Amino acid sequence: MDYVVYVANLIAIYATLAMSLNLLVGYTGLISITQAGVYGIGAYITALLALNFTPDLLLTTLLAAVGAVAVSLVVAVPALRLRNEYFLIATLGFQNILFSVFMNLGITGGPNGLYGIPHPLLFGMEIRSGVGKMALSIGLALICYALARRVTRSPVGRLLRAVREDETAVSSLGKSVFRIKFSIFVFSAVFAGAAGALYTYSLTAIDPVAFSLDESISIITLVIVGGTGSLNGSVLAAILLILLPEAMKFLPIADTVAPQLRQIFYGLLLVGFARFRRQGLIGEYQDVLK
Amino acid sequence: MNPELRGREAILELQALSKHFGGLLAVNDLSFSVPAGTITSLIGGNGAGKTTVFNLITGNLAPDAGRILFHGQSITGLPPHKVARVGVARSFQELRLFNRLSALDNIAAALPQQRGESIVASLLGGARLREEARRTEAESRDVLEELTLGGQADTLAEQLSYGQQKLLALGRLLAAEGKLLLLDEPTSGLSPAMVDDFCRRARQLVQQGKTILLIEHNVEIVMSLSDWIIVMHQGEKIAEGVPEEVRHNVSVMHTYLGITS
Repeated sequence: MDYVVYVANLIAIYATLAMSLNLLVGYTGLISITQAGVYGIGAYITALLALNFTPDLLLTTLLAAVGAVAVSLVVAVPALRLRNEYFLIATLGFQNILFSVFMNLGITGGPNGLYGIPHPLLFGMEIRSGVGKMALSIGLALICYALARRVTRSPVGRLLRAVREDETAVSSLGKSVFRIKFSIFVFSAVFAGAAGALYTYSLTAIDPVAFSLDESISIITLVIVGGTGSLNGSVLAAILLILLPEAMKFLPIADTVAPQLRQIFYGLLLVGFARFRRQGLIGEYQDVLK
Repeated sequence: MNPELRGREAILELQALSKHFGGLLAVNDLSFSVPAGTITSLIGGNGAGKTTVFNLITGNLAPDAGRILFHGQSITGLPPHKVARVGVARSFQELRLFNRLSALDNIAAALPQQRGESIVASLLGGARLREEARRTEAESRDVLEELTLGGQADTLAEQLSYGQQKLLALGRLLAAEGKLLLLDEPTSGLSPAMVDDFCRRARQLVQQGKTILLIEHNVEIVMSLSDWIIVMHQGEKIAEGVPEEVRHNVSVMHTYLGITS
């Protein structure tokens, strides 16, 4: 039972991460591979606050989101002036910088990470149970879904897609491409940071590997497999792509090989979808054409 | 400049504009002005620097030297979205439509100053925003109707025929509400009937108070439509005048019309 709850919790966190990244990749055409780093910032800020100050859920999640936004802005200001593959390379660089920081800084506990993180307090009430934490993660995913849906269906959502289609044309219409990208970057970082906070409380221990480049690629795999430009697709992909590797754990495979198998599995999916089904499981095309 | 045009205010003025790409001097010490309320054409062979001039005006390229004035105010070095906001709208030779957006959304995205185009405003919502969205849709549908694209409102731009795409690009330009319209080869690839339709629309726009700066290869269209013609060759202005003068200018015939005497 505990295991099922844990997996459901993980699905909710990854659904939030995938949706937040889809706003950049799918809607705006910004292929960012810094999302795991931004998520890590949220996780580390939460861990440090909970260990040294207070595990107050709302306060730490808020500060995790603020911290993620702040770091995201450092990435955004130079990176958003670049286009396409140059943007991707810049975000790759930032991902590696963030990972190195987590790995080498004293206060982040280096490769060992941080552990013994207290359970979160919500209005003074300690949330110890896995079910409680799962409920928090699902709550965050629902909020993220509702707000992202609102944004993508409003005129600003149309503008995001217009930027994805042709930046030059958007600026020729008197609309600042930088401002649009900047604001969606901030919005996305809020949820990545908050997801990091809930991840920390769920595991009560974090280490840098959870926020590595591999992780960024896993999140982007969710976006691509689910369908770029589809929030439902991101949620569906999070469910399937967390469940399938978890199911593999029940196969007679040695523990030492399992994580590599997961990466191979994700890699194959990425290649397969890019080649045979670009629109993903639920592509934007179906949304538009229905 | 002939007396009639001389009296008009210049909506756009280029002063000694230069731009080079590496060793290539794409635009060399170019000066001209576009009288308000006219159709002015920029002609010249391939590589004469016409599109570069457009890119300099719209801020997509920064000039190496020279100034650009719009209504007497310098817009030199402004980023493209700011140039557009002062009233310069442009169309592109390669159209640059939002391909995977519906025709309606292509127009709606072009309408200026929508509060709903901010994330915070769209999250807060409210009656004003809903009213704005209704107005945007109604205005966009009007633009499509006027362009005979009313039936294609929900079709993705990439699924329209080429002629329809050209019309949609024009619609997007009009929705942007510029005072000066820069049109880069608006008639290329169009059927004769559609070319006529374009010419009628262009004259109509000028009557409505717009000014048009046109890049056009079709000599007939240039001669019949233009109030003023500027001839470029290898980045320089080699002649300008009303259509009759340009037609009789020998060097123009050599370089552009391809007539050898």
